[in-house]
Amino acid sequence: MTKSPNIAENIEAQKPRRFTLFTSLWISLLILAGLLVLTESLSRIASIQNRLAMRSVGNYHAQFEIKWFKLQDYVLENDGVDVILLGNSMVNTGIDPEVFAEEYQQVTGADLRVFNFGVEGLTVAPNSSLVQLLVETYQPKTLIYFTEMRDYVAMNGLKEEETFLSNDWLMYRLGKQNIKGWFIDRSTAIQMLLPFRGWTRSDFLDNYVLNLRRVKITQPNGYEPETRTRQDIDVRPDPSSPADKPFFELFQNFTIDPQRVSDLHTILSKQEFQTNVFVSEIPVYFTFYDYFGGETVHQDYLKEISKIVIDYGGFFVPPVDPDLIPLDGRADRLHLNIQGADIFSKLLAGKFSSMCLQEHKCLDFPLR
Amino acid sequence: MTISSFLFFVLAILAAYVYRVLPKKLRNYWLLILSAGFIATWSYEFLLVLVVFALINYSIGIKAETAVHPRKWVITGIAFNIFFLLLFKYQKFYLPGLESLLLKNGWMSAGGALSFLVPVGLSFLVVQVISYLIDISNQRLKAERDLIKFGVYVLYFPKLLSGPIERARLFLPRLDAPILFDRVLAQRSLSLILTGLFRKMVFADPLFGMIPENAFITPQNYAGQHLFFWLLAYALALFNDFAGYTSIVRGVSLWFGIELANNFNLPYLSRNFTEFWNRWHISLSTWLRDYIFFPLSRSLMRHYTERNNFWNLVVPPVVTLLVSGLWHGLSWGLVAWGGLHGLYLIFERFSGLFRPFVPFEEQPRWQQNLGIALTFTLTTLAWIPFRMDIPVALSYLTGLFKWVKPDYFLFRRYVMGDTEFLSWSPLNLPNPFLLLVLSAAIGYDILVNHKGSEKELRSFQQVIQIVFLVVLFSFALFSIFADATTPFVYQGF
Repeated sequence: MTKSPNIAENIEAQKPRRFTLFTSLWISLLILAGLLVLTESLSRIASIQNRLAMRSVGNYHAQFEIKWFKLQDYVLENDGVDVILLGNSMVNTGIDPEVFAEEYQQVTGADLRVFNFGVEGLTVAPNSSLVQLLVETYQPKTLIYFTEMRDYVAMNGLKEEETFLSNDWLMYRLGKQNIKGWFIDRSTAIQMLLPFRGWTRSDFLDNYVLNLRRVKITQPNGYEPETRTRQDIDVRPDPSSPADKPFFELFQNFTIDPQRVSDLHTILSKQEFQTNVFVSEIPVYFTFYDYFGGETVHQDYLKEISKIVIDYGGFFVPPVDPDLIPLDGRADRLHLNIQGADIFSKLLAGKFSSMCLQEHKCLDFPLR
Repeated sequence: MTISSFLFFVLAILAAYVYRVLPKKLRNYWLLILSAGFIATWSYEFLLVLVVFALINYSIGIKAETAVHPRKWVITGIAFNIFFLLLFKYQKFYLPGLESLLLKNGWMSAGGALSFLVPVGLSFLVVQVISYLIDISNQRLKAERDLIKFGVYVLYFPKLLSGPIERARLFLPRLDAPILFDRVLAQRSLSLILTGLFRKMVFADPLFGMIPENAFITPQNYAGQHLFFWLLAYALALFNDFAGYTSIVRGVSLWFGIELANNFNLPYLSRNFTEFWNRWHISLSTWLRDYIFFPLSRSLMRHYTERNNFWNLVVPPVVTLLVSGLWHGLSWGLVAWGGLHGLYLIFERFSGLFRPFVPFEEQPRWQQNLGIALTFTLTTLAWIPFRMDIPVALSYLTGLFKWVKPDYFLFRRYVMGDTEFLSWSPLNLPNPFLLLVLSAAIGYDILVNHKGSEKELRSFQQVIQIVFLVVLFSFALFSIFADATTPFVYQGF
């Protein structure tokens, strides 16, 4: 006796179907998609954002990322930013935007929203790209770019520049379209997961803890106070010492590299976008100029760089007298500590406020 | 082009599709073109060198069959291949001497340097063609007259970089009758590729990454507990990297209907060293067994007819494993690695003389587990000279016993929030991520162990398959943004 076709079909239908790897593949892709949506949704919840203090755009330069996200929060909190202080680590620890704004307000009466975007190791070359990003994103009224002699040495900071600029997100934001950059830019979840991207590195935990600490230390206005005092300031650099030798080799026979000048021009060109650009210098301790051949080389550099800035239509603000910063206000030859930053921020604000009152070059409205 | 890159997979899929639609007689031409193209992605010079290498071996193979004195041709062929290997791979041992000679005679200017680029996969190719010539000599194989087929045998791209080492007598017939690519084969191929990627991305890459660069250079700077876990990480990373690689290339090769030999079968679950060498880099160890161990044993047996004679027990394993060490590279560390494994095998052979043979399956479970633990421990210790030069290896070995007490007090203060968390290193505790991946890698091997063989992904329970795939895809997705992939280690051999 044979079963009727209907019964046979029924039996066939009730048999447990053997799943295949392909079925599992599709199911897992669906689950993954669901997990991605869930992670993205969760990452946009404020309480979760507060717990995961670190965010990243995949740039190797952790301090740049800290500053970028601090600025993002600062703009949200203050409804914009008026003045961005730009430069390297000397700016990072050397200017307290709050002190600067307060001093400026007392003299001129103008309330400024000031953010310190000093990022260690960045020379004029990467800063020229950074300026484009900052101006296009936040349209600040003024950029004060603090430059120094090391910025114009052709071989200085090349590796940092290359790795900093090769970041997909940065390239995307600077107009070089790429999918990775697009995703990073739009996904909060990716930005929150990227700080963990180095989890397979042997030094991950140390770096992560260090960066987390820097996030905590860096104030909402971007200033990172330095508490150390006076290190090797009085000791003159020694050309025969292994520690100083590379710097003597790199900085002796100092000349201004034309490519770096062109990068400075890029920064100055942002004035065409209704953003004032001022160029100045952080006052370093005179022994630092031994690497370059002494203070006279520095004075020559200042003349040359101020001419370059002025010839391009920019504003050059002569540096504050370094002797006005006491030794106790310095962390080392280059960097100011919290005391020095307080003094320098006031002096700098004084300079800018008198420029505003006497020359009508103010930071809170366009000069062009 | 690396075989775990997205581009490789896309191109391989397209290539496999073209292979399927091509008439049968053109398929080997296509495989040869693909292989040549693959080599050219590394370097055109490599391609040129390897084509010359294949042509010479092709000619010697025919001569070894047809010449009046075929044995002379086989010996010439073996000598040529060993010379070829020495010329490229061991150049750092003779080039400095050659340079100083040239400088002394004014044939080279000061500041100049000699160097050759080592063609990819050279060590693997050399042992393959040596087996081809010996098999012809022993009349186990006829010399291949079809130059295209021979070219595919030597240069076939999935196995080019790091094997598996294929025997011509098994591989060449597969070129005439590739397996039909149906749903079952597609599933098997997918299973192999996904397993390979899993081993590479989830275990090997993270474990390699978590070992500091200086750990194997200045081990004296690190606490014993760190050296211990990094050695474990190295052992598991090396296995997962190479096993992952083999699994991927076997899967890709199935797209062309060509089955490649398996290279690994959960070697760290071996219960003794004889079993270990049947499970670790199987294609090389069987090659060594067939072309060194057995001939040497037979030759010795002619002189010392007693099976348990001292020389019969000692010489074959030691020589075979010393050759294995030298095949990996010319260094005292690798000689020591081979020598250690030789010693392990001798010890095993001698101890076997004094107790009756009991198959593993009949041994109590504890005894099997003890065997696994002992074999794994000694194998892992042998990786020290494999990875380092002898003086550093000794320093590493002594460092393993110098544990520094972890700072639990500071850790407690961190956890309680009594002090600011400034750095992980001063705690002298192992990296928790490392422990996590190590446990996962060990756990995975135990999970896929089915009666001494590795269970394939396609035969897992569906829930486990899905978890496996979600983990793999998450890692893959994350690695796109993290740029954390590292090249396969065995490509260096």
